[in-house]
Amino acid sequence: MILISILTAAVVLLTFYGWMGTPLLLALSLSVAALILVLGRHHEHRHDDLTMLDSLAVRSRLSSMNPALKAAFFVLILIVSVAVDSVPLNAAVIVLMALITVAGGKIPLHAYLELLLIPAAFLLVGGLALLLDYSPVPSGVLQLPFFAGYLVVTRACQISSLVILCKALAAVSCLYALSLSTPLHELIAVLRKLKLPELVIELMFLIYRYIFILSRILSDMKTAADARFGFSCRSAVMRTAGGTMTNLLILSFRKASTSYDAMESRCYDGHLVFFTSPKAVKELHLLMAFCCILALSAVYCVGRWFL
Amino acid sequence: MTQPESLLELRSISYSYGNGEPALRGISVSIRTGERIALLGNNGAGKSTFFLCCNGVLKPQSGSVLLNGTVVSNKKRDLAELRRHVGIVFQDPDHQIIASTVESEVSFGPMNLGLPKSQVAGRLDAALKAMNLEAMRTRPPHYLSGGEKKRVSIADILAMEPSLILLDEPTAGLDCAHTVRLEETMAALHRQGMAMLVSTHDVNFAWRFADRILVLSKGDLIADAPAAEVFSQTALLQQAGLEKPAVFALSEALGIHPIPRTMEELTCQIRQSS
Ligand SMILES: Nc1ncnc2c1ncn2[C@@H]1O[C@H](COP(=O)(O)OP(=O)(O)O)[C@@H](O)[C@H]1O
Ligand SMILES: [Mg+2]
Repeated sequence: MILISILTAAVVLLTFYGWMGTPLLLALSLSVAALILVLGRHHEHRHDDLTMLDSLAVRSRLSSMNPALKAAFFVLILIVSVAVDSVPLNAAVIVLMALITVAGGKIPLHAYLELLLIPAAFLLVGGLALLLDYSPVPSGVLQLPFFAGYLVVTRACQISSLVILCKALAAVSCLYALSLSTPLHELIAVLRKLKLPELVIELMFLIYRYIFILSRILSDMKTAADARFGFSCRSAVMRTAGGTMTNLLILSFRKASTSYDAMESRCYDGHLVFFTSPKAVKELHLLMAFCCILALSAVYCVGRWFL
Repeated sequence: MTQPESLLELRSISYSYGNGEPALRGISVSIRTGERIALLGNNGAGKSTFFLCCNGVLKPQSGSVLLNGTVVSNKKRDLAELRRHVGIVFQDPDHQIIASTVESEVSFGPMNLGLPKSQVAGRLDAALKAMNLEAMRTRPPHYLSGGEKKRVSIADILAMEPSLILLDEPTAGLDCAHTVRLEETMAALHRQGMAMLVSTHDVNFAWRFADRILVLSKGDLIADAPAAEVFSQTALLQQAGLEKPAVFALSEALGIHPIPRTMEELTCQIRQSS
């Protein structure tokens, strides 16, 4: 968490260096770092990474909407924001996705920010690499002596880094907005409608179901090992991890065989079909999606005009 | 009993998993419509294996299975027919539940039967209603409690509208309150004329529930008789490693006849006589 806030501060500092007064810039980057530190305090007691996204999606207020509509909407915006080079558009997408997820879906703000922080570390390191250039002579807006030459930050680097960071963050927010509003099994059902191979779809359904069972077993085993000092020193950790993995493998074989029996006993004949009551596409939802797209187009045009 | 012949009949079936000891040894049982039977036996006695043989998932190495008086062959159609009439509720709902929402889970069986969508929807609604699951139709099963999952796994089978339900240790892993609810559900199913065969090692539950009792011990069927008769044979119970139900033992000691099924009935009778 501390690392991410320092990284963010550094990236903000370098990206906007030379665009505004240095005191203002310092204040800005420090406050961004502080904000991340404050928001990240919840981070420590996260329960289950693997299943958190899905459990949030199930509770989202948007989960009752037609999944195909949501998938089409978010994927469209994702494609546009990746394809078009426009910082205002991408910034608008980031804000819109946050609004849709937090205000529309009623996902807790700190949960959403925590999730955004996961890819943030990668993005920031990437951004830093984009910002800094090596040059034997001093040039650009900022120079730092480095071995025989200089690490320099140029205007072009600043702009391209800003564009790419915004683009990446916009894309990540689109995917989060989709996965925080649509439970995975509904997405799989949408993929089935898109005529993905039946085998892949069936595997996805079963894996989705089993991830939850196996992750429960895994966390139980970890707790049990912990209670017996299984993580007390490095060699114990290795031994415990090995034992846990072996057990998990054996257990999943056994589970798979019993599950197959259970499926057969309900007349399974090699074709996995379920009935789901359809979630109709509501006109109101279509209208809302249309308005969002209009608003984004407006932002794009205004950005074109003035910047 | 309107039907003279049996619903499901097993004729001296044996099954071995191929690692030495056979899991079932020459078992013959006949089950009629609407019966309430408990299958008693300790862990590893062969109860689950017996159930899997009853519905054709395991093919007994010798002996035969008869559905409504006709032998079930190895053909796909015969097996499907057997599985349609005889449903198994597995011990661990997590083994049984495969779909991602309650409604798609419960629809799995009827969809496999190849019924038209409207009929599937009808059966789905009925099964969810019977198990009081309507409020959680679209919820993924992994966000349900243990008791709710159990209800889903029973609804799974009800939706296939079987004539015989096999419940494998339904009370294992349930707390008292959920066990009471489950017993009420089972009583309701019995009133609708459903035949039920319930495996358990809980003799108190078996005595409350069953009219007839089968006792399995290390793959042998060592008793098949009315409940009162089985529980009065102390030597037999000892051989199977089972105890007498508390109410039963107490009533015997007090000389009460006929022996009541529940503790409430017993206390009532004691109050009246004193
Ligand atoms: N899949 C299997 N592979 C090999 N042996 C098994 C398998 N399932 C059960 N057994 C063996 O068969 C016997 C009967 O088991 P089971 O029918 O599960 O008993 P119960 O349900 O009464 O506890 C046990 O000795 C058990 O070890
Ligand atoms: Mg068993």
